Amino acid sequence: MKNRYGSLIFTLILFFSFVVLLFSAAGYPGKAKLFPLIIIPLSLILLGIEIVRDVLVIRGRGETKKADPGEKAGETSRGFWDAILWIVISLFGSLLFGFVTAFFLLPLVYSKTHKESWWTAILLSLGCGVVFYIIFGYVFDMRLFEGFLVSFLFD
Amino acid sequence: MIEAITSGLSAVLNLYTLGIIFIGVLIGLAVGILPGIGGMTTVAIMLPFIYKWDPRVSLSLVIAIYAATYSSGLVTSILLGIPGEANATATLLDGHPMTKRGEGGRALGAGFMASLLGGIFGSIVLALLIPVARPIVLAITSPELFALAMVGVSFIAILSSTHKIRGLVMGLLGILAAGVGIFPFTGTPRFTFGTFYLQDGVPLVAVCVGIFAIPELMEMTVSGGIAEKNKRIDLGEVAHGVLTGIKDCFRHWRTVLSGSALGSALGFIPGVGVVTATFLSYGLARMLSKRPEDFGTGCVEGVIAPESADNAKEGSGLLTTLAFGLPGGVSMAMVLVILMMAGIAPGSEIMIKHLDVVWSLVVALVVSNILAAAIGMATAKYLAKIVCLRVGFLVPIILLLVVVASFGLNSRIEDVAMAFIWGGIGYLMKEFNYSRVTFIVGFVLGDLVERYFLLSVGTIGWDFLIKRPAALVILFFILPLLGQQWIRRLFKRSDREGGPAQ
Repeated sequence: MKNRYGSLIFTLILFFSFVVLLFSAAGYPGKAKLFPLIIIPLSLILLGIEIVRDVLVIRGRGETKKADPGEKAGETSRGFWDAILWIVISLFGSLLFGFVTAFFLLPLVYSKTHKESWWTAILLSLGCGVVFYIIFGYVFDMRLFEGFLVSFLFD
Repeated sequence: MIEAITSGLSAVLNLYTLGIIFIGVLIGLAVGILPGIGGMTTVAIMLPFIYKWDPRVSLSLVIAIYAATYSSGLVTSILLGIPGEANATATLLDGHPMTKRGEGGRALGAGFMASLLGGIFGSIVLALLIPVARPIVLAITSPELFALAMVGVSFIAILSSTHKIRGLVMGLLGILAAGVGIFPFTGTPRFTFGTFYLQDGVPLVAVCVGIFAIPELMEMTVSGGIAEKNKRIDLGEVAHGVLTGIKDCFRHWRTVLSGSALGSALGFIPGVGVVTATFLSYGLARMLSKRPEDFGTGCVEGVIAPESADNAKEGSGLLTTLAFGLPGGVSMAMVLVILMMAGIAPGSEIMIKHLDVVWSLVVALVVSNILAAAIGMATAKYLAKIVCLRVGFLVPIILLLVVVASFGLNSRIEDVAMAFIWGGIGYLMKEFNYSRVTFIVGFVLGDLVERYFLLSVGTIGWDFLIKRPAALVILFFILPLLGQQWIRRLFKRSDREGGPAQ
């Protein structure tokens, strides 16, 4: 396992989420609570076993937060935050400026910030924009979200 | 039955569906080569756009994508020593040494032909067993269906994951997540926490897109692709020897047959992944070979055996998915998702009312395998170049697809947010070995499991398992699986204790 502490924290979060669900389910009438009240305690028992196993491993082996040596760990960490950043940018960018703008803008910004040449960035952006617009707007006849900014400015 | 067969045939063997299958094969061949993006991510992203189609067409597309993905994974395994898909890892053992010896084309020919023959074998098994499965499906009632669904979730949790307890927790969480929304029996809102949005339930598509696509995307960004830009592929070598490889398949027909039969048999067991099937088939071929010492040094049988097993597995996997609602793995879980979205329940409903859908899948499986092998062999040297594509280019494209796909189903912004939330949860699940596949299987089957359980309790009583012993027998199948870890440990301990005495 990559990181026992992280694993333990995630298991604990799951455990407490199940506890919350258990209390919610207990308040439902008759049949509505029947199945959840079988599933949730079973899950809590299993999660309890996992918590004990994680704790035993951490205490028994004195395992600490493992990190990849030196440079590689730094690269992995950078890559992780890079991924998070782009997920946040694409989510909020698409919602704020709308899908059509995002089709063109996101590939352009992404490729430019990843040291691609202007030609590559523009070509990728135009390719993505046109292909996505044709596929989703025409072929699938989807409603392409216009974005909160457009709604705010023009409605 | 005849009417269903002709209807299934006509649904697939027309220009429109064949065109869709052709596109599916092209997509599958490409994504099968790109490490990081697999058939699972592709189908998850496509769900919102295809769920409204005729299920025979949308399922044909999904089958085509998976069949081609399984076939094309071998290209990079053989030529570069990098498995495009996990199922092509066993192929690498002998395929890549063959390339180093200048027999890459022969290995590709043998691999694609074995995939094709395995796929056809699996389709034949499926076709032959449909009439056998129908009376069984008709005979089983809600207690057995409940037991089967629980066994299905448990098998996938235990066999597909190295962390069995975590797998089981995910299966149970999936079942619980399926119960979010208005409870149909009493009209009570459950686990909605006062929100209107959750009263319709957790959106399946947003969950699938988020849980499968976003973690892969993050992994891709973190790893930065495979960085094989400098690896040179000798394209001249690839063009030669394909025909020899095809002939090899017929020369080693016993290996093809044993691999296909093993793959088909394993396909009936939910949770036995395609990777296990390919390695077992490789092992079997080595055991049956007259020259087992050649395996691992570039022996063509080492390519044929795993490739015939992985495609053969799909036929029997489809049968258990359609007839009993027991998906063998993630590919079949996606088939189940599409069926449920089309309003077709597995089991008696599909085997009686929608038998044409089952037959259309048999035909789609055959056509997809033929197309995948033909296109794969013809374009192998160009396909191999896909691996040199900078994966970074795909990140913004996939991110946009995730946003549009999660919005596309209901045109609700909340669904987009939901996909990203589940993406985060999915990443943590992946990071800490909580099986995402088991969660999805539990989520898809959750409604049915609860309905069968309540029906059983309502009509038979709390002792339904005793009054219907067949259900109890089915449930008992879980026990040896649950205990296998402890049994193995016990044997190891007794070996250790017995060691010094010997």
